[in-house]
Amino acid sequence: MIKIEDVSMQFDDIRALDHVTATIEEGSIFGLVGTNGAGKSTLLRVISGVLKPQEGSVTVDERMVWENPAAKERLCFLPDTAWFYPNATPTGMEEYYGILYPRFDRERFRDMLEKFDLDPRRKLSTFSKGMKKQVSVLLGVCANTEYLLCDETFDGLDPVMRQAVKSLFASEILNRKFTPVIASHSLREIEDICDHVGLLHKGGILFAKDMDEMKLKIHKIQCVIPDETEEKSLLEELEVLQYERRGSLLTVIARGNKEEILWKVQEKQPLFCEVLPLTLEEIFISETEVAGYDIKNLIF
Amino acid sequence: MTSKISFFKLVRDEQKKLTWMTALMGLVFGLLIPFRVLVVMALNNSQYTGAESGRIGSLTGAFWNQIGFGHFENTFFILCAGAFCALCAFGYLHSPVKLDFFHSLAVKRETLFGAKAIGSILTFVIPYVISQLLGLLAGLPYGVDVKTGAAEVLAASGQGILFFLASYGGTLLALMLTGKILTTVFAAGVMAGYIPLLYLLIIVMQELFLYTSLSGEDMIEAGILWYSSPWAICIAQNMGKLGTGKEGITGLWPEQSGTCTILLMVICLFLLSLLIYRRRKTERAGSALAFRHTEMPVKMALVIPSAVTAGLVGYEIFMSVIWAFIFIILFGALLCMIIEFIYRWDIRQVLVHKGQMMTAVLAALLIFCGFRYDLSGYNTYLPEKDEIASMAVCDLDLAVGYLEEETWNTNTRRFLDRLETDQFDRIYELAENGVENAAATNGFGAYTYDEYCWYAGVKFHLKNGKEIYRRYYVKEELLSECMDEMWENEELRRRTFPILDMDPEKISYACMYYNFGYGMAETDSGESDTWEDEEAYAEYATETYENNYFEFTTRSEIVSLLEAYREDLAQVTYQDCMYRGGSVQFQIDEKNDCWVSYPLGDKWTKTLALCRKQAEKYQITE
Repeated sequence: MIKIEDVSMQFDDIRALDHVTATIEEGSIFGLVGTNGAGKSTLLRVISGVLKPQEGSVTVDERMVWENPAAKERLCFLPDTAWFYPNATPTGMEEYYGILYPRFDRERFRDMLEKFDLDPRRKLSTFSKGMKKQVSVLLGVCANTEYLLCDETFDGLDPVMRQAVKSLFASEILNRKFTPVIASHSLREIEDICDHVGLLHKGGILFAKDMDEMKLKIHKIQCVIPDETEEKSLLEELEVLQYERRGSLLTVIARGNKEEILWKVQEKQPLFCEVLPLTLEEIFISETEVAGYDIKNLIF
Repeated sequence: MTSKISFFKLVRDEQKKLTWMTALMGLVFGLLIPFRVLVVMALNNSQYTGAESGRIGSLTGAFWNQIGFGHFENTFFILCAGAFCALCAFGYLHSPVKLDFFHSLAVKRETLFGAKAIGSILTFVIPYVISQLLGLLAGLPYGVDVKTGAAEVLAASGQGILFFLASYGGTLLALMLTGKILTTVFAAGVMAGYIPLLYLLIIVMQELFLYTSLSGEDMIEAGILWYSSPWAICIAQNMGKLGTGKEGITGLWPEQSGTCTILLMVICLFLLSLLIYRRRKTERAGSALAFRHTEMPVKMALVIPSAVTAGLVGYEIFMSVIWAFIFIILFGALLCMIIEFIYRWDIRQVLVHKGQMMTAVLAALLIFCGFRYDLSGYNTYLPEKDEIASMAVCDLDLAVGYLEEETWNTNTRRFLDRLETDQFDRIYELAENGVENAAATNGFGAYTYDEYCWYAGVKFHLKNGKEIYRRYYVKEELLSECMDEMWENEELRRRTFPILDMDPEKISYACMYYNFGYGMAETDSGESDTWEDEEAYAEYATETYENNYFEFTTRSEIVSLLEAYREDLAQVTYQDCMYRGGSVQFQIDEKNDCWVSYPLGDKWTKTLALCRKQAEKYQITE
């Protein structure tokens, strides 16, 4: 488990992290979302021990990370710009990671290179941005560390490769103790892979929640209620997070039990009623609005 | 808990990644040592024209000159290699991308530091030692018995490695304190030149404005230049500190103390660098300096002396204080802006710290005015007579020096220390005259003083233990009286002229110059400086010099000259020394080729008689 407690970082006059507190549980895929400059990369650098927090602490499995090899050996950090030594090839990097990460699985790395159709002997400097990203992710996964910190990992990957990486993460989680932490500025990019999400804004974490839990507690209903008074009364009865009317079609996002919400709608004798799946964006909009923020201005 | 990453594997990997550097070092030192030796040996072999039996001896001599200690070009390349290796190995500190990678690894910073340092140092050590070894072996085909010089070559290799480490350590420190390669290069330059240049500035300021200051040791004697930076200390060691310039297998091993000093300095540089590395913030990569709070002190330390220097230049060019002020203000402000630009890399922010700029300029103005107007009263300072325990005086134009542990010491201050006397009434009068003259000149030294004056060195030894040295421009008459009274004391005369007590064995060679035809040549042809035919004048001058120059080479000649000179010197007055017609020069410290010159005039009758005798002996006519 990675525990971030009251972490603050300031670069000259810029407050990059402002008393961030969060917990990343083992075996989950943690998505860290936020706008550019929200502090995602800084937080990942603090977690990986690259930066020393000016305030607060970060522990990995109850070990302080800063200058602690015992904690850091559980982590592998993939920054947004991957670094390969001059004239490196995937095979050369494999050897290098073999030294730097004692549990590095060379055989698996070679297999993966083949599966991803990457030439092991070609110089990495001749690879495209996306191909370099792929090599970087493969190196990170094969490092066999418990936690993989990915900064904008999907940025630059084509949709096919994005899916391939997602399934790679999923299979890793199934096969071993593996917790990827994925930082991204796009909710859409990580919504179908993460089961926990933290929203970072202006250096502070607005919230970090379990996706399923959020999905169970918030529902989106579309209905047509002919009587305006009934409609008004329905909106008063439900714990409405957001609603919109287009003609006679009413779309409501409300907090609460699905059956209970449906029963209340049915009571108002609607002409039409259905429960729609919520996107991560919609959940976030609702949650952040409740928290007093207008997420449309934060993310989209 | 320690890391599971193998330190040795890290070192080996670092070395592997720097293979190109090993190859480069191999090429440079391969050309510089074994290749050069082979070329020199081949040339000597082919050009040897002597007897066959002497060939090996001749080749051996040539061979021993090429390897071992003292080759400046080797030292130069070693120092460059040190700086280059440090930059290559620790250049990652300036790259945020590389730092993300290295600092996220499960190793402590000290482990990473050690692996990087050892790996990169080996890229030099291995090819360098191999080159030295090959250089030694290059003598074998020419029949040189290389065993005899092997130990010295080994020691020279050790010294080379030490020089490399010193340069590496210096550059490493500069790297740790900065966040950009450009500022690292500046920082290394400042580290190398700051102290000597600052010292030079102080000396120039003293010479210009504190004209009563008696310069003590110069930069080289004081060791300031030699110990001012890691690079300077290596060059000093390389040059044998005394500039003997001997190279190769010489039998002259470097001083142990010097070697230990470098070793200690290397250890300190590496420890300091490691300490800074541990405290260095990763996020400072890409900034000019690694520690934000060092920005202001560094700026002040650079701007203030530079602005004062600019003021001096302005003052010297226009001989005007106003121009000095203008130069200080302009240059100080400009330099502040340049430094601010280097810090921020943004032209719009060059005026961001106007307060600091003003402080620096004001400080520079204050320092300049402090010297120019002698605000501390340095030139006119005269201690009360009852505060003084003893005083000393010497004529700065006479031979200043004494023998100290086989070495001729010419430090004026130390010379004055030997001449202290508690009978100092006349010396005090002399000092009073000097202070009067200093006050009268109003900041322009002695140049405006009309009366015939002379420079005298004076020391005040106060009762509270404080020692004050001054150089006064005093009336010749007063100085003459003062010196004669002092020389009445036999002991002080002997201390003034250490030659009086010197063991003749210490003198390896002597010569003298005395113009017996003084005035004749000039009266024959008018004034010497009105010669129209330059060639004829040059011929005349050479002939005159040759006819009035005498050498004393054998032991008996030196002993006779010394005896005669001592007898004369024991009875001459100061006035005789002032108006002299020639000089006697003794080579005292043969090892360091040190010569001392003593006065010679017509009152030195015995010496001149000996001179005539010498002239007859070698058939030289007056």
